[in-house]
Amino acid sequence: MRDLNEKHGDIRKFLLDQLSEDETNQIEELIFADPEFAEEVQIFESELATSYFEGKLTAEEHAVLEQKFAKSRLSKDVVEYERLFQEFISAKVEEGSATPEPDVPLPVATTLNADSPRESSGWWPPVLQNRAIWAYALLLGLVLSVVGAWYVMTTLRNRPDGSLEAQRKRIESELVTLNTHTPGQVSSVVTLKPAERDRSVMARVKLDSATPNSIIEFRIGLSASPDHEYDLIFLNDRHEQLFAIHKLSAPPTSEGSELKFYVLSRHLTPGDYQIDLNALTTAGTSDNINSYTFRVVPSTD
Amino acid sequence: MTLESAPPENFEILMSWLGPDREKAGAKYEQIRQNLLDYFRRRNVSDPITLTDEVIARVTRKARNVAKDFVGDPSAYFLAVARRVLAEWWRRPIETELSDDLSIFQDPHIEGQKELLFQSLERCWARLSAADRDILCRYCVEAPPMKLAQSREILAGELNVSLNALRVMAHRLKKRVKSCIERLIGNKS
Repeated sequence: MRDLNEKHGDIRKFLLDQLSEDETNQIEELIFADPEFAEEVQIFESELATSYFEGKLTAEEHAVLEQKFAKSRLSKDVVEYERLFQEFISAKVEEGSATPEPDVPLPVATTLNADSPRESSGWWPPVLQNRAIWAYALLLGLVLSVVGAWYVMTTLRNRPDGSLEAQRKRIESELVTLNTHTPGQVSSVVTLKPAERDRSVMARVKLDSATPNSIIEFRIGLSASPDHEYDLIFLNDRHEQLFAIHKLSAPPTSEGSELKFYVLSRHLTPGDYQIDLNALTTAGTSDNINSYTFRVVPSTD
Repeated sequence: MTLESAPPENFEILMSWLGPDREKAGAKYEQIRQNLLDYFRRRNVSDPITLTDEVIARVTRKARNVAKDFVGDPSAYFLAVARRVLAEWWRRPIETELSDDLSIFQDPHIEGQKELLFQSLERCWARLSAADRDILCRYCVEAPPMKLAQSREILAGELNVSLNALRVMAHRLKKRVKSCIERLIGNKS
């Protein structure tokens, strides 16, 4: 990882439109040629956005950025995300520090009236000699243990495995590429029917381990108009999310529209799968439309 | 400026040009697309997505001819086409304001939108490991009486990395959270 500190002056001027056209072109060429430099510019831009909303820029710099945000909504997105994230994480830290320290029991003497007679003598403070308190404490301990064990189990079960997460990202990145344009040769075509209506007939996909890069085309017929965009989420038979394909469109057909999407055979292993189909709404949320199931079997099956 | 689709085989040629290995070519494609989006955005174009798609469509259409003779990094060719597309756009800007739904952090003050973003943030935050969450908290939030710069230095020391490496680490974590929110809200641009 290189330290690009010496470039910070230029990057700052570049982001604030303070470079000549030639200098700007040079920075842009460097961004395209060097991914590390491109990332450095992104980092600097985030830091500048933070300085912007924290009011740490000069009036002139502030005005330049304001003008940029007015022209491009995606530029404004950069600053809005930084603002939102900062607000969120500050609240998190505050929550953390607001969490009470483990209770230190008050000295018993301070909780008792110094004049009140002691019920019994002995080494234990009087409050701890009360059997009812012991019983409650034991019961509370038991309940906390059960809740704690349940929490740990749930957390462990739900915690995404690092390697699985990396695998999901890799597959999704490949799927973006694969589904951006119609790929060349397709090895098999699978037409999916809604799971609810067609429980008895599960679509089958035959996998040939010798051709891990063969392309499988999936088709889903839709009655909805073709102006929606869709997200597809692939789940295994334990209902765990495996990977997703985002922002697909469904071209019109004589019966409505049809969604076509592509997966490489190495993305699947033998077993049962479910695909959740979500339509993206103009409000920025997604509505689940239907679910589809299919079974992957080895080609020798 | 219209988006004409290229023959499907051209996309395959484009991917081979970007790299012999499909996975690396896919990563390169994503990097170039992000660079194009940033390029148009920083050049104050109102709709960077349309212009980015136009550049990719043009390069894909010409991929067959360009790929065999072009010497050097294909990214440079994309930038050259982007400059041409931008020049055309300046001459005759198309009135395609980026639609509201493509910009998810745009109006967090709209009722309900901020709550939705916070809910998504909470879910994405929970997906980070405890160690990553700790890095972000300590990197981003000042804990008086210590100054932020001081706590970052201490954190870098604990992680045994340079301050710059820590800065990059924090940026990548924040980017991961952002991508996660975009995925959850379903508006990845």
